[in-house]
Amino acid sequence: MHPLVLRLALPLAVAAWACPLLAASAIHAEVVGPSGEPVEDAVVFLRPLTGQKFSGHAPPAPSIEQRDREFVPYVTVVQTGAAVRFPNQDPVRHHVYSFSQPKKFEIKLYAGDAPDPIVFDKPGVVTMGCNVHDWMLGYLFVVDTPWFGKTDSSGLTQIDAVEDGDYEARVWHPRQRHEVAMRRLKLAGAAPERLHFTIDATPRKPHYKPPLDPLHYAK
Amino acid sequence: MNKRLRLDGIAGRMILFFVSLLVLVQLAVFVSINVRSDQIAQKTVDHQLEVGERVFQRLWAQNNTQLEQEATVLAADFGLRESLASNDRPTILSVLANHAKRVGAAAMVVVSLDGRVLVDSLHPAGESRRFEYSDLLMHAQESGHAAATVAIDGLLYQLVVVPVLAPEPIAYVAIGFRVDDAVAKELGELTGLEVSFLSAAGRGERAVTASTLGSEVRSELPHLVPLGAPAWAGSAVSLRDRQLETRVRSLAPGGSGAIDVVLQKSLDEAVEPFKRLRASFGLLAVFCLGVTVIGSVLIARNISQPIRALAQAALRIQAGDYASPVPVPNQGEIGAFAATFNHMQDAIASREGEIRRLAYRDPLTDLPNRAQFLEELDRAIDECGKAGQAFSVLLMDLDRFRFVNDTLGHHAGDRVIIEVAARLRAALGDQDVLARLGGDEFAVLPSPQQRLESTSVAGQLLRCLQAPVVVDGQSLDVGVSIGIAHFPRHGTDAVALLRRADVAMYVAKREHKGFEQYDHRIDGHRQHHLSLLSELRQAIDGNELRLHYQPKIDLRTDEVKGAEALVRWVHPVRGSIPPSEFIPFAEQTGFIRHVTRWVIEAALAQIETWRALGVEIPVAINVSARDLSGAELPELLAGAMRRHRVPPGLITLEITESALMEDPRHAARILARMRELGVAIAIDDYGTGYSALSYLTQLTVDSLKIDRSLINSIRPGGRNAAIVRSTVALGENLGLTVVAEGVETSEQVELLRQFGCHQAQGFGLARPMPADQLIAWTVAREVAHESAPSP
Repeated sequence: MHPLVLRLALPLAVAAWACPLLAASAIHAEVVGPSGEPVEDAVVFLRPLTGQKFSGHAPPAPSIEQRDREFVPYVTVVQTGAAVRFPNQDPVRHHVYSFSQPKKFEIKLYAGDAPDPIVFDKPGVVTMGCNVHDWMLGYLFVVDTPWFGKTDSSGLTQIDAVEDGDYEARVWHPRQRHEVAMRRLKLAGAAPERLHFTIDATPRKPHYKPPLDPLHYAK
Repeated sequence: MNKRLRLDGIAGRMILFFVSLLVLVQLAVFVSINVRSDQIAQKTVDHQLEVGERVFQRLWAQNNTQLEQEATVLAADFGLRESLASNDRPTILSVLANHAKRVGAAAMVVVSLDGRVLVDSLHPAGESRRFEYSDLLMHAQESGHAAATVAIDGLLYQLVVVPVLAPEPIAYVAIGFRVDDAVAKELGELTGLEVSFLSAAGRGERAVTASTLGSEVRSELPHLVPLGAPAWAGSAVSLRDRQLETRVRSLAPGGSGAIDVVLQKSLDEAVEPFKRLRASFGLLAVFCLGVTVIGSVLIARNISQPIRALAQAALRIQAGDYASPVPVPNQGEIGAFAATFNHMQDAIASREGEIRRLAYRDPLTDLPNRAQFLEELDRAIDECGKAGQAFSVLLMDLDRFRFVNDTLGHHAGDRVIIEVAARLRAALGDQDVLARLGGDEFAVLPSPQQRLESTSVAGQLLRCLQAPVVVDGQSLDVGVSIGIAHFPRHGTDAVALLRRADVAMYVAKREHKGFEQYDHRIDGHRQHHLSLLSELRQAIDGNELRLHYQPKIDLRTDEVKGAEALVRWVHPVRGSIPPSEFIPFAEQTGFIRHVTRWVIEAALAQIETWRALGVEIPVAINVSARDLSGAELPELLAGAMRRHRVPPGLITLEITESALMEDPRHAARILARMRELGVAIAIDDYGTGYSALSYLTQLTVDSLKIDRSLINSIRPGGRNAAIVRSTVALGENLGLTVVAEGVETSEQVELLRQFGCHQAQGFGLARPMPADQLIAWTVAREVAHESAPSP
């Protein structure tokens, strides 16, 4: 486990354990591959089955940057209705688009901050590309629940402030080969729940990225 | 001179050799060029095909890559992505058509991610079916693009499949590019080969879908080319009248053989330059052959003409013409040869002259020899025969020459011959031909002027030899006997003439006449003699000979001292033939030896018979010159004496003076052996020859028999009487018994008795008588003596 994650996770756990009156708990999820290796960029989310309400803070509106001609982050998770900004950090213009069902959009050639944030109001996977740079690929996973997390490079994630109740827990990964079956779980304010998922995802292939200097982009 | 070149001559053989050599070399070169050129052509073609294969592979791969890139660009087109993402079918079709136009594609197919055909420009009605080339989809999914060569509806396409990324794959686009004759042509130009594509046409058949080949042969190609495999395979294909080296390889995914590419190179084209090379080589060969033929003819002529001239000269020399020299060419070995040839010709001429001289000259006297004389004689016969003239031939030999040779030596003999030759030569005219035929024999062919004067010529010859020849200080009387034969009377050829001259010469010698002309009668005598020979042989075998005995009377005591055995021939037809009829003939022919042998045998047998009767009568036996010439006489006599047990004291051998003189040394040896046997020796016919008495005494003879010719004409006070008396006296002094032969009258007996002659023999005393009569005669005589004692 990553020392940084430990250091971060432990105080949070202690905090959760120290406030039992809130009747909320944190979920620790771990996603591994078929041979036990950690899987990064897996999205884990819980959907309440018994009408629980989110009592935490609304997360800040996320940004998906175009940095170094990549989408950063590669995978972004937002709750439905989130307005996402697409700031361009590169010296070149980008033309971000998506033909995905939940949200078709196109931000034609722009530099700096996009004129307006895009609001994603339907759950689902939004695959984003850039019309100028074919290799640019980014995923925006829109979920209709406030309880979600994305695994780090250790395959771990934590979902806080989950009310007691029944949930279905799901996991998704952009390069998953198969859909992983959802899991039911019941939270009763006890100790932090641990979730363990195994998912079979193809590794992210490195791709060639021509240098910015146009004189040197021979393939 | 024959100008034509003969094939079996030097020239012909040279030409044959050079031309054959050249032809052989050219043939070898031609064959090797042929073989090598085929090999080189084959190699060249193989190499071109190999390069062509690689070029084709590269081109094909490049083409695929290019097409893939074009497809990739298309797939990344935002319009296509957008229209696909939004499933905007009209837009999709429009975008596809636009891009097809842009990249020159012939077919556009959009396939969903699950392999269903969404849009197909070739088959608008066949959409939503499963895409046929699912492995291409898989490959494209894995590596971003895939390409294959496929046949669709009998047409060939390069099919490129790429995913449409938006930005994740949302579909596949398959773009088909036609592979048609234009593509084949371009590949053909780049590879330098014939390029054809074959594809399956159902029911196991194949068809040419694109090719650089002419349309007329396309239908045949599929039957000739084997199915392709993933690797190149080679074969040779005969297409119409072209030989094509062929490589085939499958282009279909997985190498199924459904689509093959065929690369071909014409062997004929590769061979073509060699054909031109062969043609020019052929021209060169013909030219060389011509030059060689002309050159070798010229060289051969240069050699063979002088050689032929030499051959002609050799023929001329063979024919005896040594006069004309061979022209000597200036150059080289032939010139040296011709010069040598001329030297040889001169040498042969001089040697032949020498040989001729030796052949026709007598080396001792430098006179013509027998050969030349025969030629001269033949020429005279020829000339005179035609002219109807007569001529004569003289043949002569020296009397007693053998005696000179034997007593004075051969050197002296040669001197005598030389002197005689010189004298004869001097006695004759320049035009007379004098030749030495051999030994002491000479022949003369008088000149035409003298031809009828043969006797006078003979006279000249005899005269020139009258003076004695002096050799080593000794004066020798050299007599000569000449026989003359006349042409054409005595013969019309040289042999006959010489033989008859010989006969005449024999007569002259026998009769001491100097010369004699041939007479048919004397030759007839000879013929008679010849017929006698066989009869004489018969006489000995048939026991026709008889011995008669003529007593020898002691003139002092009147006793019978012995008897001379005389042979008689009792011829069954002619009756009794006297010895003078056949003995000389037997002596001439040598048959006398048989007669002598018979006489010895008969006489000794008679002595034996008499001894058996108690009577011992010494018998004298005549021995001829021929008998002395052999060595067998002593053995013969000794054998007979042993057989008949006759003591030697009863035998006397009578040998004529002339017989002893013929070969005195040999005669002396034989006589010595006779004396060793104890046999007495008597000299017969003494007084007729020329023998020196001193010589005779060396032979240690026992008695002399004075020849009847001296006794016949003996008269008191006559010349012969004086000779006889002195001979008797000489014999007395030398201790020899002297016997007179041919005593016929009592006067002669009386005279001889006066002279002191020891014994006498003759008709006047007793005739020869048979053996039995001798006994009776002797007995009767003794009886008479006893009754009337001798005076």
